[in-house]
Amino acid sequence: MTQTRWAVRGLQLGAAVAALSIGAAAHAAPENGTVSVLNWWTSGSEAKSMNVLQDMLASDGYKMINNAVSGGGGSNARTVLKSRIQSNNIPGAAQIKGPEIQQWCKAGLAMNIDKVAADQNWAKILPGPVAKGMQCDGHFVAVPFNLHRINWVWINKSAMEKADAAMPTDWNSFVAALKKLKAAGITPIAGGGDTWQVATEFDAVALATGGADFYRKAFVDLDEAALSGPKMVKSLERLRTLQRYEDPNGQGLAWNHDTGLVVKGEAGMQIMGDWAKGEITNAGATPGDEIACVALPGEHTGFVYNADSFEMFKNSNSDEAAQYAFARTALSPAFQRKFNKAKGSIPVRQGVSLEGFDACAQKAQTAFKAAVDNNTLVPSYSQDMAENGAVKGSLFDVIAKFYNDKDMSAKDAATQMASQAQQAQMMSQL
Amino acid sequence: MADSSSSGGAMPIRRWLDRWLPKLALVPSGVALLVFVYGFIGWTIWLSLTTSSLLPNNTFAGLRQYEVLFKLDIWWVSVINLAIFGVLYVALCLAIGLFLAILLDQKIRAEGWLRTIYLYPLALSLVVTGVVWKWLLNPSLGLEQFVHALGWTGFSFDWLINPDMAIYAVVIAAVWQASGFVTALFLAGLRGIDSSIIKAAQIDGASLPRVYLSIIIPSLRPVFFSAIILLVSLAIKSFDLVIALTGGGPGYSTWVPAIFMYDFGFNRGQIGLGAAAATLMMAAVALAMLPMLIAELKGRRDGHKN
Repeated sequence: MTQTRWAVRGLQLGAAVAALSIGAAAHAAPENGTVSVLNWWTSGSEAKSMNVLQDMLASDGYKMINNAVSGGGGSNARTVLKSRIQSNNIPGAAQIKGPEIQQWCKAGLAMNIDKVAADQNWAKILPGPVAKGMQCDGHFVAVPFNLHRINWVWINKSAMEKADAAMPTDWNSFVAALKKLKAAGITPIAGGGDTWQVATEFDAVALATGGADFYRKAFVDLDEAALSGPKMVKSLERLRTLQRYEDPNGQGLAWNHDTGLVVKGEAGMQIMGDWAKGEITNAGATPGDEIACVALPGEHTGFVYNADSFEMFKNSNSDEAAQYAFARTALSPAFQRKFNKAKGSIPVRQGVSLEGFDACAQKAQTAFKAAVDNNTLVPSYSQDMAENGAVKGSLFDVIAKFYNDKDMSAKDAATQMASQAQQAQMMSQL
Repeated sequence: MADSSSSGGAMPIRRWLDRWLPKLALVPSGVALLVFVYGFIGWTIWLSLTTSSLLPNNTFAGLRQYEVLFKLDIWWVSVINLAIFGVLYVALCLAIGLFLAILLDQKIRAEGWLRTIYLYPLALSLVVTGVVWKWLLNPSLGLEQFVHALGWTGFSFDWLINPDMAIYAVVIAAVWQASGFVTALFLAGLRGIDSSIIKAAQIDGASLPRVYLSIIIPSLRPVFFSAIILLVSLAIKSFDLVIALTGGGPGYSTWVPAIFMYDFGFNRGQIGLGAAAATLMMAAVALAMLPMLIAELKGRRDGHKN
């Protein structure tokens, strides 16, 4: 029964993709080649940005077929990618991020794009850790689009004034501000609606509490001592503190609903990546003005990053020249400015002017440079940047269990995190 | 055959067509069924015995995926949820369905209207049902807020956000959706009972409850059978309602095996584990159905002999 249902879903998805491709095929005839691009950017500014890229490629004589698959935060697009690879209808480029880039490369499917990388000098224009993530066996196989910062707190300034709370500078003043907001009858933190949101908060808490070295040991290397050690326990205890200041009735509400609550002043703060800026702007406020952006304070500072990227495939249905052009254009300063301004991220290409970007983007840029210099730049585990889906899922499971079971101790959660993550790691390497 | 070859002309073709056309017409759907249902069932079982992770592969791994599956807390939470949900869903749907059908069968006025109203929830998709009940059961938007506004501020109904109770909230929405349909099934069954038997029983002095317990409900056996088969398979497949109502949350407290299968197979790149979960789900359906099927078929054969 279940199998038939999925078969039907698959057919529907296939039909949707086909319809989209036909729609895109109505554009001008290609002179220099065609590239099909599988992605999950179907809404608002992201979809518009893909059209911008399409137009920029068209003016160079390349046709970009935009295979956008909506839903599931990219999981539907991933499913389509798998079935297209199985049926040997491989897209020229597909939206893939983090360690999954290596997984596809190890499967022998990735295309070497060292030629573009050398032409554009990626070694110099891309930040070191990001460039490393785009490589497999020393060759570039993927192109990054942007840099999001995860460890932000968005704070409604007038709500803070109403509660007579001071802007937080360390963990204690942060908790003091939450206390005052609560006393003033304002929901201190909007969040906790689903596991993904809790995990995103934990991203910020773990870096602020344990520091970059701890973060990398725990979430990148899956070091057992770090995962079950005192710094993890302390981070989890702080997550418990956050939970006490979140609205329990917010269960099931989406992150953008929560951003709305902060803008309206019904909630004081939200811990969320900088894509929240889009919601803030839509609600008529200015990020950095009415809504302040502060890195989640703690003993340590740093930058938890999330970079969207596209991996190139060989033996695909696209022309190599067009695939190169796609990568080249995506990293062109003009596209980097346009795209990142719309998406709320900062350009991944270094040296691009941030003129006209909002105050929070400027702040993110400064923080990014400092993080690169101080080696405190870490890939976000909650946004698929540090681990594959299996390991990430196992970490999410423990965090969900801990967050929803108030009797579970931080120590137990940390121990479970270590054992479950290692088991998932083992299973995905069979 | 010999007769047809001697007469010649159009007749043999026609006869051949008469004999083979129905079979030919059935071939496409038969092949589709064979490939898309049984073929994929076989493939899924095979995948559950391999090391498949991000992409399917054919490296045999024995029962390794099942060993891991049985060690996962989240799998057992899903299984227990399904047990709670399945038992309550089937039992409540049958009870409410039968009760409403008996009430509707009392030759009341406006029966057509009532029947339509009861049947209407079925016309809504499970996703719509889930979203509506999500709002109704949300403490700060729905029922609890409404009762507070009426003045009873001590009232609390937080099942949807309480990890221990959220699965019961799913039961409420599911029963609301399906019980009208079960009512319709039972009503059709009630209408099919020969009224002379009931009259005979009444003449013999049987009370009304007695008539229902000893005559009417036992003669609804085939309806119970179809209703249970439908409800059990719906319960085991349940996915969309849970996703729309709770998203599997709080945390993973309302996960069911179908969500497990989807998330591990498609989101987490653990196709082998997902396939193992799917195989066990299918085994569960088979186990739940087989005894009933055998009993029913046997009963029918016995009935034939008499």
